[in-house]
Amino acid sequence: MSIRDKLSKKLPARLERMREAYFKIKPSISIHRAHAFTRVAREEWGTNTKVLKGKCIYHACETAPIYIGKEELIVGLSGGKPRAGIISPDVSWRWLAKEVDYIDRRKVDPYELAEEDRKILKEEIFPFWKGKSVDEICYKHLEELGLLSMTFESGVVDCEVKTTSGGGDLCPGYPNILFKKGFAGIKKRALERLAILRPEVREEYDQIFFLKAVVLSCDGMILLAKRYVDAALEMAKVESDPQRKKELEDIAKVFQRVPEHPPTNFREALQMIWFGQAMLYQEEITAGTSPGRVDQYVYPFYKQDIESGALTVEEAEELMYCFLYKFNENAWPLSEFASKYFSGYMPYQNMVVGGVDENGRDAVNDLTYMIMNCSKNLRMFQPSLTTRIHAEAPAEYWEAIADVISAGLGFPNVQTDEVAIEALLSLGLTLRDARNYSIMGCTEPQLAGKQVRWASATYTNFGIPFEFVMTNGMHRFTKKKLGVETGSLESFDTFEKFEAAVKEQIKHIFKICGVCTILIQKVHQQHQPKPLGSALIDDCVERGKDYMEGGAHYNSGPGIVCVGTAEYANSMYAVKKLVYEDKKITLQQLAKAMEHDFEGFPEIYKMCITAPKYGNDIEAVDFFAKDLMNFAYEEIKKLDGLLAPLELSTLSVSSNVPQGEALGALPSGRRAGKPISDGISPTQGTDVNGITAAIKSVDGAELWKNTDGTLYNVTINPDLVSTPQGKANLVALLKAHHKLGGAQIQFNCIKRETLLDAQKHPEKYRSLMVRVAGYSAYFTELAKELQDDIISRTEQTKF
Amino acid sequence: MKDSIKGNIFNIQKFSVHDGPGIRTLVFFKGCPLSCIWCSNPEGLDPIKPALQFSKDYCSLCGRCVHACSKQNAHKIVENEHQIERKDCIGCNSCVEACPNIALKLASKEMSVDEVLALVMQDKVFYETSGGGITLGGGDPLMQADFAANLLMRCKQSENKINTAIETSGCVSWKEWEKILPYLDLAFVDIKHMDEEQHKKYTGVDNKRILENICKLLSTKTSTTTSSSISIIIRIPLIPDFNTDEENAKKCAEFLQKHDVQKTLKYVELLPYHEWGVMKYQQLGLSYNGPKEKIVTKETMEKIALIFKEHLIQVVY
Repeated sequence: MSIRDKLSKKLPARLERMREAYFKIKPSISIHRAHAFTRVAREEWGTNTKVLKGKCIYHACETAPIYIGKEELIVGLSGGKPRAGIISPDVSWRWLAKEVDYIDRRKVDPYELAEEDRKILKEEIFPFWKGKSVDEICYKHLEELGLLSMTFESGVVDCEVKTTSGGGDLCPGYPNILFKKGFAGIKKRALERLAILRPEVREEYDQIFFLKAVVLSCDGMILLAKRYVDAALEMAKVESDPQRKKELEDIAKVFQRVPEHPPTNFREALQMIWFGQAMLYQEEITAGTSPGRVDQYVYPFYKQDIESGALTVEEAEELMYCFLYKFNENAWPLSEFASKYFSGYMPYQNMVVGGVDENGRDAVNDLTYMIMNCSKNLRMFQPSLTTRIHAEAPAEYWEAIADVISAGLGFPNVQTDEVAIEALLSLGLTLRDARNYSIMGCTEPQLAGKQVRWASATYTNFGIPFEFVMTNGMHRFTKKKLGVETGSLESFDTFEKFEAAVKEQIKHIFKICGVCTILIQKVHQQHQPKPLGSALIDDCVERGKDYMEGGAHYNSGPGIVCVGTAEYANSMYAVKKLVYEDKKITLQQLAKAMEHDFEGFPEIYKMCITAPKYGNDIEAVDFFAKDLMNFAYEEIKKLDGLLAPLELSTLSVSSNVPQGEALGALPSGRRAGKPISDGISPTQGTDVNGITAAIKSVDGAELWKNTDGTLYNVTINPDLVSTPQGKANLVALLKAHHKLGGAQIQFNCIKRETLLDAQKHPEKYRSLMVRVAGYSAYFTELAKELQDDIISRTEQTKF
Repeated sequence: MKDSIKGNIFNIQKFSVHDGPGIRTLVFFKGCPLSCIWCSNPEGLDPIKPALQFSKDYCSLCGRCVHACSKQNAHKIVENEHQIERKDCIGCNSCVEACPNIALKLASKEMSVDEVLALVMQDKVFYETSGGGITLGGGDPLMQADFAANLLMRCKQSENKINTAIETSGCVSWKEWEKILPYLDLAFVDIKHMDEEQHKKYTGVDNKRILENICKLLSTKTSTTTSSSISIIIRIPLIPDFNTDEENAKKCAEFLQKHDVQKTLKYVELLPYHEWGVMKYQQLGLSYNGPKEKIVTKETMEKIALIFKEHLIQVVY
């Protein structure tokens, strides 16, 4: 009997109740970490930055609120209650100071904030951090370089993600470090290293600070776990229900073992991972902390417990449900502006299943199916589920993927092993390591516990270079000269000259992205060390180096996130065809129409909008997408980050909406201010030749060159995949996509009418999920602009 | 030269999943021997003349089409209303090109076999992974049987070898059928009504030839180029007040049971009436005379399905 037949068909009653309660929770801000950090920093300012950070983390653990939910079996939250996001004023506080009086009422992602906490923020926390935060330091540096207009003011190069939030983007070393040593083992090794390091040796003294911070961080984590033991036992003492009393005692027992020591069974393994997911936030608030290949590294514990009879499949599944449920209680508070980029309260925790093992053999196991089944039945937005596919994946696994897709949750993200592995090999990973990749955040292939890479420090788009060429460098929205002068329109007497000018503008934008990236990395390196995260990355402890200083075994990126590939291909083709081939209009006429957002130029608008578009399997148009990927890959590779060359990413998150807001009309026919195309997807509503044609266009663009991830959203009518025949066709689509060399694909399996109705009656659709970008979110929790963008992706043409 | 044959095609739709096994490309042929009152592709009825579709909602009354059509004078704007003299339209496309609002569209296109084949074969990888292929529909592909046969033959050539299907009214001479049979894997044929008079009243022609052809199809043994015999799927569009009665279903089931000697009938598919095509009538300047009653209930579907089941005929709906 296949494991799939033994798995639950619906959610167990316990989870059903937890899930129901969840949708009544309002996200909130927790200030405990900010307060703890402020108290320590105020007392000890001047202490070495790394040691100070360690002390702050320890104190935050010492004072963190403890929370054990009513029925939960897997436990722990950094903010003291579900969906309470902690904040890091040491990274950034100005946005919160601005929004502190209305953050509970703001339009995008509002958060509750207690009145007494508001007072502490205003009186103690904000004043102390004034002038000290990463955000302010970055801002001042950019100001000195004259780069504010290009960045903070215009958003052409958007730098908010790593100036207003922590570093993050980590796949922590749960399998290779925490499961092997526990925090006690990491601390032991740090102490051994400290015992031999000599303060009088120049190469060594700096390591002493770092390792001391690691020890403090490990102590903090161990202490925090002990506080959970005490709390669980206290609660057990007064619990009248014997079953719950036993459960609470079991929780205490688990915390007596993990995370101090390596897990010995399935439950301890899950709790240990969850503890990391929840408590790494004590270091700084970040996104993207991803548990990686849970089905692989937890499997030995599962197998052992099932075989010994310690657990039934049903019991194991309930624990898995409780474990997955917890991912929904983390939050990542951001400024209202940044929330447009990362809408939907999303903490970007990605769990990946399936794929090949280190030796290249298929690694699908019973736990793979269990995680997929639990995700499907849980119907909640986190963790984001990624399913790895490869040529030898078993038929049953493909079916299981189609089964989850057709449930209409927006996941899984389907990731092609061959493409990800090729990308990672190009970054210098060994073949065995590359095969063992996880997915970080949305779709970024990354090796857990050994490789560190910020997915991005900057965001830009491929539409703005067209505007700059048309205006000779002028940014229409801010009326400032932000591009380079590529010459007057008259000078572009051939298409090649026009194309070269656009690429010149892109190069210029990339260079600014590069400078901003390094600058931000340096500020983090100097002012915001990460000893706790570093403790979970090989070889930071051995080298005595923070991961921001290159302590990791593999250093990569960051990426430059570029949105609007489709807009580029469509614009380039429209100019080539209309201006240079058919000579229907002149470049000057087109520029004028763009300047006026096509108002008063209906003929030109029609020519632009009806010109053939990327996403319809038309080679002449698709060529420009592929050409752009090659060009961008080569150019970005030339730019150095602080620790490694920068990387190309077309992972838009929800940035296609704000990036479009400050962008004028384009030759593709896209109007000013409208969202730009997302990821590598065809422009919303222009892929009119069916999904197969769109997939061929997208997959033909050599996507492995997006070593830092790419994103292809497909919207599919749920009626098409609801039947067994429909699911078989979905498998066929995925297999063809794989054969075509596609990197990644994800499906929104939802009807347009449903979304429209949800906009009108949000109260009826609290749990309706859609795929935004590299993640699913609750539709009714998204900003209106983003809701509209998602609806427009499903739009058909007029006929 | 066979390659010089041109076909009148009014749409090519990729990722079609309801018209045969797997993922398919559906090629819509212009022209139909029937004129069913509920037809959802009225733009495909006329065998030659391209149908000009006009979406009033997008028209800004700018008059560019009037200017572009000055020779034929088919477009007029009278008292803020855009009028089209359909009889004067020669399908030259100049108004479509002139319209800045994409309010006009001309559906059909003359295409060579190579052109159609090139588009169809773009999706070869999807046919391979799904067992899909090409389906000819329309209109009725058998109205252009030479072109259809040529296209299907090419689909079966060694470099392509894809699954082939046709959706037809069946209402053409057997001679036309014979042209395509060697290259066909699957045929969808409609039985709209068993009664001659009723059939004629609602579709414009009687059902004699259709039923005769179905008899022949069901006794055709194997095609020449495909290893297995041709599969037949009988489709019944269930139209309220027309063919949703038990008596008609019973006659139909008896007919199929009697004639399916080679067991080539795969199943009977019941298609409930829908109104998706109504908008097109407006766009084509035609009046829609479809049934007054719009809904075929689940009970009716089940009732009719049961009759086929009682005659040991598999039925899907």
